[in-house]
Amino acid sequence: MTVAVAAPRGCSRCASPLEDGDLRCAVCALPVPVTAAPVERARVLILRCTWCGAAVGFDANHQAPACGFCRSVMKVEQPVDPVEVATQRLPFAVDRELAAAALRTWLGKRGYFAPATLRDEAVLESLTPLCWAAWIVNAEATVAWAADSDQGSRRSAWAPHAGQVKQTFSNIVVPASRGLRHEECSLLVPYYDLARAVVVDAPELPDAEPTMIESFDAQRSAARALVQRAIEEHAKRRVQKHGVPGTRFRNVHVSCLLERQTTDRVALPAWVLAYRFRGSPYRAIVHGQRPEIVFGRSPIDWAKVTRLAGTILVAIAAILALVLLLSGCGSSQSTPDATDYTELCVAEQPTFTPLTGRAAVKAALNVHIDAGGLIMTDTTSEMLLALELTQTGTQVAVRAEVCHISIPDVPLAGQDLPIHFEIPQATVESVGVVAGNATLESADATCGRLDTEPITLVLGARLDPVATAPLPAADDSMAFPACAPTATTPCSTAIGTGCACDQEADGQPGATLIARNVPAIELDQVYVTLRTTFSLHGKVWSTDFVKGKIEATLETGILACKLLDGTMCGPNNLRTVRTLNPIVTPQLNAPSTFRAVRVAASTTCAEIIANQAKLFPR
Amino acid sequence: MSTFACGHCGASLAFAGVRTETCPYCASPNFVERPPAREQPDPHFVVTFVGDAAVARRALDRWIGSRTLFADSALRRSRVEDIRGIYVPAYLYSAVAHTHYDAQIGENYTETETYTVTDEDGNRETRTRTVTRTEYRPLAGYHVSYVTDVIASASQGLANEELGRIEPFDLKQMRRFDHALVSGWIAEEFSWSSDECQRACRSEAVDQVGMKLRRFMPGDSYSDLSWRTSVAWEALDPIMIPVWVLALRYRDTKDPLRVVINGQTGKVAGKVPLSAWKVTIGIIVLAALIAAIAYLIYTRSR
Repeated sequence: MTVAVAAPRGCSRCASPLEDGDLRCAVCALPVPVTAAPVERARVLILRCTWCGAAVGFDANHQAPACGFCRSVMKVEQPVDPVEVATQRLPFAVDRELAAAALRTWLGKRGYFAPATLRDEAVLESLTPLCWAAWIVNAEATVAWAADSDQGSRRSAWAPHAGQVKQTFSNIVVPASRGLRHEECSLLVPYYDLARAVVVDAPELPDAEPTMIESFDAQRSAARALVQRAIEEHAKRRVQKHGVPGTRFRNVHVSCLLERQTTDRVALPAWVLAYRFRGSPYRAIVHGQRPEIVFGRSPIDWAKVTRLAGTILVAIAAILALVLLLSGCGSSQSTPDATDYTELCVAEQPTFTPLTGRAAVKAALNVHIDAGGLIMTDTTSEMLLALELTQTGTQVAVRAEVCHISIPDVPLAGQDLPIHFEIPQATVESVGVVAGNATLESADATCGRLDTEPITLVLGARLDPVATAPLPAADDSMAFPACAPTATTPCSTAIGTGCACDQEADGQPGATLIARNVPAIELDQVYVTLRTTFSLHGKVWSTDFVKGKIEATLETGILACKLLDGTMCGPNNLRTVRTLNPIVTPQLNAPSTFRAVRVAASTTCAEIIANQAKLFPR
Repeated sequence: MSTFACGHCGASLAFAGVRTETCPYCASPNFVERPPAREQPDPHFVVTFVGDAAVARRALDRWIGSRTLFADSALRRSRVEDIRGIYVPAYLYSAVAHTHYDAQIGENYTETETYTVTDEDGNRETRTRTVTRTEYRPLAGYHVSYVTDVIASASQGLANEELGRIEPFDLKQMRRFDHALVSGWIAEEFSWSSDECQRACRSEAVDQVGMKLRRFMPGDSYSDLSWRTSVAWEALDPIMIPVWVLALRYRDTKDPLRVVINGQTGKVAGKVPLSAWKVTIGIIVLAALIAAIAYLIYTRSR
């Protein structure tokens, strides 16, 4: 039977072009029409072997008619599913020298965490021009969609929506490259000037160097499936952006009726660079048409990262200092609630009872931590105190004891476990009783102000004057001023001023902090000197209740640190920690606050911790 | 019935329900070419056999070996009485499906509820728990898609349901029909009209839309899904599909078991006879297990 295939130019159902060998439209599956040679009347045909003349039948093992006598196999039309090849390419606009220069520029701008000598020390090992494979798709589509969004929601947070929209897809680039990763292709695609495409075998410029044109790693049928999936993904993103009402979405489903879909196979230019830095290989990609588009892997200076980690540690130390400042607070009560200026205070005069007695305090220190941009977070540390107050007229003498301190974990992007800091109980207890003075606005009336003088608290060091003397810290050689007889002598018995001593008598200089899950360094403990100056500003709501705000400043000095394996930090690790400049600031919208309530004179720290929910209801 | 002379030796051949016949005298494969007629269309496409009868036998052996525990054990000793590779006539259908649907979409939410428990001493205690509830919201919308690769049998000998059990066929390997591709095999004539097959295809298309709609629904669940589909741009093309048909004789007292095998993929379908005593023993064992578990629970609760 002789069959003539109609000229396969366009599908009559979806208007998409057909390719040679297509039996059906790749988009809508409409069969390509055929025109058969007319047969006048029925007749019997026999297929004969072209070699020996014997009658032959179709051999399923050979997938072709085969002669049973002479074993010859006849050639018949086979299904067409060729491997895709590029028909167009974009010419390079960046030559070898420009690509190398672009890499150098890029290496010089790798930011704070890159080694300072990266640009100068990196050795370029290879520079390969590559034309990577992609499909460029144009199509029109009727897109039906259904999704959940927050628009119109009732008891559930979601409500269903549906709709239908016409969409046009122009020059959608679908990567087909094996040499470049999909993310790399996505970074390059927006910067190609597709209008400059030429046929793939168009002559190059005379000085152009041989370029590798990547072959498509897909047969035609598989390619069509990939392209259609890519279009559906585009349609889904558009529907989510412009079609579905609301601000939050889920279960976005689309069904596309594609029409007039054309698919061009193109090769897109890029430079693939390999360079070596201090023995390790790295890869970077330079856009083939825009030299300013460069991306890839580059080394990280872990010493700088360690410094950053130290920053975080010191920031937490700042929280500790703010916590401790309250222990020196002369007034009786403090709490984590913000001052409520709308609340009406009723004066208790003449039934005012002096503040003298014991009080439990709960303080919330709301601070913002900015550690070089790696961690930017607001956090709140809670602390419980026991205070002994003695009021004489408008003067109040305060003796404070720290009962409990909690520091919340700090989550870090890209790390499963949050950074965890802990103040050892020994450090808490070593603070002991701290004395201070406060002034009352009225000696015998509530609703008056309670203000403390600035109180300075120093941990891990002996200073004179405590408010202004330099804080001991390790220098480049890991040395720091130590009290006599040694830096590990407990501060209570150490001799000298302007020197570091052991705050909690644990055999380590300064005050001890425990650190876990700090990136880049397996830290166990950090030893610091710490000075905080603070003042309290509250209102006496009743003789049993005071609340208000805290203002504080902080300085810290790094003395030493210890790793998880039990070894002390070396000069490099310590240097990075020592040179930190932590930025710990009060939260603008949530000042640090305190609440204080009167308790029985015999109440211990343990009882305050156990009854805190009752003492300080939310 | 049409009678023709063998194209090789001239012997008289009767073509009953088929378009191909092998001459019993000279073993020549003959093929009838005739003018196109509405009731006997010329196939446009053919999916060819992949592998010969030995390949089909291996697929059959694997299938028999993988039957369930309750299958008649005589099946494993069965013998193939007759195995034939047949090009089955069918229609390949595609269309554009426009669908309007209605459904109740279930959106989950959580609530805290209180409940009361009584302990061993008779004290009543009120507790709270979080429960997930579903809010149903009506949704009406449109769905549009191409429906492709729907195949309906036009064979008297192989019903559409039987063909459905050995689908799918890889239509990427489909070729334009040429009698050289069916020469030497039985090519059955079209028995059902294109109108009858088109109706069957439309019904399958609507089912296909239903499957797409079930994946299309938003929400955590849905109910009362109903849809009305209208098809446009229908295309119906005659096609030949490769099927091995065979009879398995597993007991002399029983009728042979009819088995069909996809001639391209080797997928096998057949109604497996069950063994009455195996099923009975299975039920007894299951009942005993249930009783044992119930007894255990009862004794523990005491």
